[in-house]
Amino acid sequence: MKKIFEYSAFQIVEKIRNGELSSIEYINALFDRIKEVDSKIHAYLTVAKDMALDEAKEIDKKVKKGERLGSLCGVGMAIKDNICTDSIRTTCSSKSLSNFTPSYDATVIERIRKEDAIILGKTNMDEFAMGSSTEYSFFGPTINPYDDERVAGGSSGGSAAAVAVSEATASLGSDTGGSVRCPASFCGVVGLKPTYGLVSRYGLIAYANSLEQISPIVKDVRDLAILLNCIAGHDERDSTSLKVVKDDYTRNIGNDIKGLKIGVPKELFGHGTNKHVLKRVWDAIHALEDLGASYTEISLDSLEYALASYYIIANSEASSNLARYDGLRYGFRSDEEVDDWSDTFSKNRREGFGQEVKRRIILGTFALSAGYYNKYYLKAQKVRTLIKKDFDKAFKKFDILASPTMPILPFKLGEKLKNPLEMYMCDLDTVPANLIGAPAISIPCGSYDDLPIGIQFIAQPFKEGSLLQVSYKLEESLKD
Amino acid sequence: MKIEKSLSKKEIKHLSWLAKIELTKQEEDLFSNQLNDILSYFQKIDEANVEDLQPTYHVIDITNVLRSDKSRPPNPEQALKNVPKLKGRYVKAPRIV
Repeated sequence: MKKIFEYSAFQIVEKIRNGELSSIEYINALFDRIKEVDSKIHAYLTVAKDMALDEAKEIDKKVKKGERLGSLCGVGMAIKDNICTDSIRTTCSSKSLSNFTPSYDATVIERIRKEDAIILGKTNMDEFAMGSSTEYSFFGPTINPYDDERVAGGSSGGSAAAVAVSEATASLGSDTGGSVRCPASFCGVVGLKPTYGLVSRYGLIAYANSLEQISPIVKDVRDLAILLNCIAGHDERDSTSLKVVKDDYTRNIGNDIKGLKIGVPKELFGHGTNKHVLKRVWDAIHALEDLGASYTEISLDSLEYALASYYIIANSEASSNLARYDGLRYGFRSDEEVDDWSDTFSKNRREGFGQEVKRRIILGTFALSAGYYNKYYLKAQKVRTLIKKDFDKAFKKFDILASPTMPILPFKLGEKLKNPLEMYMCDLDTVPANLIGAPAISIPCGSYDDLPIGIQFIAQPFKEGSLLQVSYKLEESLKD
Repeated sequence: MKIEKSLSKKEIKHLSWLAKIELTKQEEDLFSNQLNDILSYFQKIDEANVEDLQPTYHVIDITNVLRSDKSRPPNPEQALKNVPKLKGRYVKAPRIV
C-alpha cells in the first residue's frame, strides 16, 4: 500500500479533487518525509513550511466550496535554487547569493502557482548550475538516494533526489548541458529538457542563456505531460520565448509507437561507455522494437566536437552572465574596504565564488578575449551549426534518436573533483541537445547493482509529443 | 593548422584582472595546470571543417523582440532590499573616478 508521499502528481490531483485526500494531510506528510530523510540526502537548502501549509489550507477551502481547482491542484513541488521565488531565499548554491531573496516569482513559478501547485522549498545544485554532480554546491553535496557514497548527479541534484525519495511529488530544475537529464538518470526519475524557447527563462538566474531551459523532473511520464502543459508557452517577458501554438502533451500518453523510426548515433555509445549502461540501454531499444518501432545505427561525425564546442560557448556566456555579481546591488560584499572599484569587485568575487565558477569564468574570458575570439568562441559557434546540420539530416529519416543519458554509472563522491576535465566528459551524451535547442528526455531503463541507469531520447524542436509517446510506452513495458 | 595554446601565469593574472576575480597564489598555480589541460581538449575544434558556415549564436530564428515603451511605478524598497551596504537610499559604492 502506497504512502501518501509516494503518489504521483496525477494521483494526488485526482485524490484532492474528489475529496479523498486533504491537502493539509498530504503536505504535512511531505514535510514529515523531508524531516525523516533530508539530513542524509541533503536535497533541500530552504524549506518553506509555513507558506506551504497556508496554501494547503486554502486549497482545502476551495475544494469544500467547489471552486475551480488547477491542473496541479495541491501538488507539492521542489524548486531548484536558481529559479526566483518571491520572498523565498534563492542562492544558486553560492556564497555570493547566500542571503539573496527575490521580490518576484519567475514566470514558471507564477504558472505553477496559478494551477494550485504548492512550493515546498528550494533545492541544492552545483553553484550557478556549473557541474554534473552537485558537489560544487557551497552548501555541500546532495547524496544519491541509492548509495550514500555516490553523487546524485548535477547540476539539479537536489531536485532529482527530492523526487526520487518522495521529498517532493515533482520538481523543476534547469538544463544547460544535461543538468536535469544527468541527475534524473543517476536518481532513477524522469527529466525532460524542453525545446529551447518553449519554457520561459524569465526568473531563471542565467548561466549560459543560449543553451539553458527550465526543465521538469517527475516520477513518471504522465506527470511530465501535466507539468509541461502548465509551464510551456510564450512569455513576453522572455525575448527568447517562442510564440508557439500550445500543445496538450497528455494527448501523447498511451499512443502506439508502431512504425516509429529510431536513430542510434554510434558516437553517443563511445568506448568510454560503461558496459552495464550499454546493456540496459540496448535492452530498452529492443523492448521498443518489440512494440513495433525500428532502429538503425547511424553516424553523426560532428558529435566528436560537441563537448568542446559546448564548454567554450557555455563558459563564454557564463563569463558575461556572472559579471553582474559585483557585490553592490546584491550579493556578497567583502568587509575589507578598498578604495579602487576594480579591487573592490575583485575581492567580492574572489570570496563569493567557488573554484569551479572561477575556472569557468576565466576560461570564458579567455575564449572571448582579443586575439582568441575567432579561434575559440566564433569557431565553436560554427561547429554548433555543423552539429545542427547533422541532426537536421538525421531527423529527415528518424522520428527520434536514442542513447544512454550518461556514459557511466553514478560515481563516488570526490572521484572527479581533482580533474575538472573528467567531470566535463560526463556530459558527452547530453550537450548535443542543448547546442541544437532540441528537446531531450531521460527515463529510467533499469539499474546495475541498484544504481539507476537512464536512456535518453532526442527529438526535433517542438516534438516533445514524440518523446512523451515513446517514453510512456517504454515505461509501461518496463513495469511488466 | 593546429593552434597549440598554453596559458602562462602572466596571462592568467591578466584574465583574472579582466574578469575582476582576484585569484590567490595557490589558485593561480592550480589553474595554470587545470586550464591548460582543458584548453588542450578544446583544441579539438581546430579539426572541424566549418568553411562557409555561419555561426549559430542562437538556435531560434527570431530577431529584435521589442516590448511597448510602458513604464511601471518604481518600488525603491523592493529594489534596495538586497543591497549589502546601504546608506538611506544610496548604495555605497567604491570610487570610480
